[in-house]
Amino acid sequence: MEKVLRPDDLIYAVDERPPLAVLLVLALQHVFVMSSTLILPVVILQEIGGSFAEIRSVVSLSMIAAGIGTILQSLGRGCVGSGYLVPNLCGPSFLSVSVHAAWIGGLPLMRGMTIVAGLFELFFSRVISKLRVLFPVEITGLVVVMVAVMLVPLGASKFVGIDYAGDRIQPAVVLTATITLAIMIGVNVMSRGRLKLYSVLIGMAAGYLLSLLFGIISSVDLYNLMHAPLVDSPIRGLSDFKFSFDLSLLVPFLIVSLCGSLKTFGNLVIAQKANDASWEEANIGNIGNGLFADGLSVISAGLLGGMATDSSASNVGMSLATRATSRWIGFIAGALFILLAFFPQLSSLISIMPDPVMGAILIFVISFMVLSGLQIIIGSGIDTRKIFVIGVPFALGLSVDILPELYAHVPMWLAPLFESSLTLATLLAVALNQILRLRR
Amino acid sequence: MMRFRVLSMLLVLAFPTASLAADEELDKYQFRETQELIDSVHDAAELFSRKGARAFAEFEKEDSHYLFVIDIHGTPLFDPFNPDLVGKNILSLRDLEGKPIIRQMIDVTTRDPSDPGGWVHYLWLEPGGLLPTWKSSYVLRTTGLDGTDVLIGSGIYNMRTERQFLVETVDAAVDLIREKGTAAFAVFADRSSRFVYKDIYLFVLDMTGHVIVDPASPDLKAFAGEGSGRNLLGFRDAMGRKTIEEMIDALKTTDTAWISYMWPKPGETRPSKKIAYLRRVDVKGTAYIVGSDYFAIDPIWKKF
Repeated sequence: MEKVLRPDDLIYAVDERPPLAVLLVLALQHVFVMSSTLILPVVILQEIGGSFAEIRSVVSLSMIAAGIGTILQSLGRGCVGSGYLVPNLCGPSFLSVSVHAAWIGGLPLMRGMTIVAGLFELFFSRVISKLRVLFPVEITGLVVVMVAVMLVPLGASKFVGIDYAGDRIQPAVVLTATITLAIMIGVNVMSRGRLKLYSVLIGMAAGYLLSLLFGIISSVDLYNLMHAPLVDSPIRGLSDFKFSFDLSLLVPFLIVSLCGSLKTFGNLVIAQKANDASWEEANIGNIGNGLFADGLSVISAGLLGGMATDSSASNVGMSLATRATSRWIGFIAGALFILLAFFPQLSSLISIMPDPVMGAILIFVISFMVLSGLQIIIGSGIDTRKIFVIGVPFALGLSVDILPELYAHVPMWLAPLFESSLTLATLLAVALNQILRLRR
Repeated sequence: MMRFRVLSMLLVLAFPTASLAADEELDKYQFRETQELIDSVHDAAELFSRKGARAFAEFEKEDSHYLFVIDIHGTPLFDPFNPDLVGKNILSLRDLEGKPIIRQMIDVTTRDPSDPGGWVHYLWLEPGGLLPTWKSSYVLRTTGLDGTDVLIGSGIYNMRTERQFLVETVDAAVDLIREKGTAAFAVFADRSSRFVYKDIYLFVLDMTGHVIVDPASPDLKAFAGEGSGRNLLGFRDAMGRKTIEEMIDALKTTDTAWISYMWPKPGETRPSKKIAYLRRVDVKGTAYIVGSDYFAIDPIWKKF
């Protein structure tokens, strides 16, 4: 293990345990952000016509899986977990494929394919720790930048309050989002002391209050909140516990799993760097262990019958912003998330995060992630080879987001690759790096 | 709407078991624009039931939606855009395709006493517009102070298709089949009926994949005779899945199903997701599948 230099400006480093009260508040701050994607299983189930009881069960089971994943990640025992604060949530990159699976084979197929995706991540985690040569430091920086880019669509559309192309921008949402973001930034920039720890929570409180005042809250959320019982068994809404598999979905799920793994890779790099002032390159062995925990989390999501989980870039970005990266926060946040799964009304109260609050948080954490990634790239010492190893994949990767129609005629089985700028940019960079190395 | 939301939010926090029927209705709809339209029609109906014709003055102040009120016999009582029509009976009014607009409005609101609201779609000239475009109007039947019923409605031009439109269309088709038997099939392809509008059409299959009502060639049967339609059992979507077979399989065990498949939108090459709403109806021992489909609209942020 290399020597680790604790950064001076960290308030709680990875192994430092905050006092209980502080710990609880910090964990709650993370729980709020982890809840921000609980809308995804709702979207899936609603699309295939699931009942409210069914939706609630899948949400609760997803929470348990994400909680387990968060705890395993913070654990860092043997090959399970990196030992860093990298919470899990319902994986946005899994949305499209999960909906697709649910349409074709209902929940059993979604569960089965989620397990397959998790197994692939376990495999990937073992491979990657042997293949550190594929991921020199500048590529890890690129991965971090692209993870941030991946959050832009959700962040920007929530910030202006638009869900569907053609909707009008909602002035009340933009105003609320702007004020929320301003408060988060204000507290973060001005505060010299411990107030920084709570910058997101303070902004969020203001955002919730304004949203309540302006009436920004979706009727679906209200309905969920109202009809949720106080205490309930997470499996009550399920009619079966079957699993099924479909070969035609294998490639899409593997590619999404790769994308999720790369996202976790980026998150783990940030967590490592945040805790080491002398950080020079990624500890790939540790990342492999982190991916292993991530894979176990995805598998448990499939086994339990929830939506596939993923490590949360928003939470990692927030830990950078609040200067609290203690893995103890991960233990408590994970445990709270599991506990909340049994209290549907409380969990829906937390998960009805209004659009502008979510938008503000995402834009806030994107700022940290982009700069962190750029810092890693620049810090690696730029030479002419690296300019192209990073520049070409960056340009072509972004083209996927900016001009998706370019790839309309890509063969169907390859198409998922051209749906994620993160995956495409990373694969291109890895390949280009190897080619240019051979030439040297 | 805004006031309502704050109030309901507080209500929810105070009384977790309070029920909000209006919200349940709104939850059927995907787009905010639709929800706001329905909300304002419901608000207007509530106002009318309390104040009668005195509510009209307040309707005019309504800044977001233009409302109209028609009595149950087809005479407009309030229509700020067409003041000349107020007081005249327009029951026989038809659009470009021959759709009897007012009759359809009366029909959708009286068909089911437990559900006094419904949608009517017709080609209409938008104020200031050059050519007619599709207008979708939500109408709600409500009772005034004097005990007589009126229809209160409001519409949006060029509206995005809601799932609920399919549900209403297919359910109405099933009702018609139950009423008229297979004679109803002839109506489904008629462009002046309520079953063909915008890019929505109705199809009927039998359980062997034989197309009974084929939107692709509604006239063919007249030349080729009964039983001449295509058989789509072998149809595969853009992903290679046997869509029609899936539909038939699904309806072997239930009466209602949603099926999704991939197909390119007109003028595009990338396949998009289409969602079909299907119902099974039995006529004299023969099972038929009545369905309709549309291109689903995903959230703008869904692509990650």
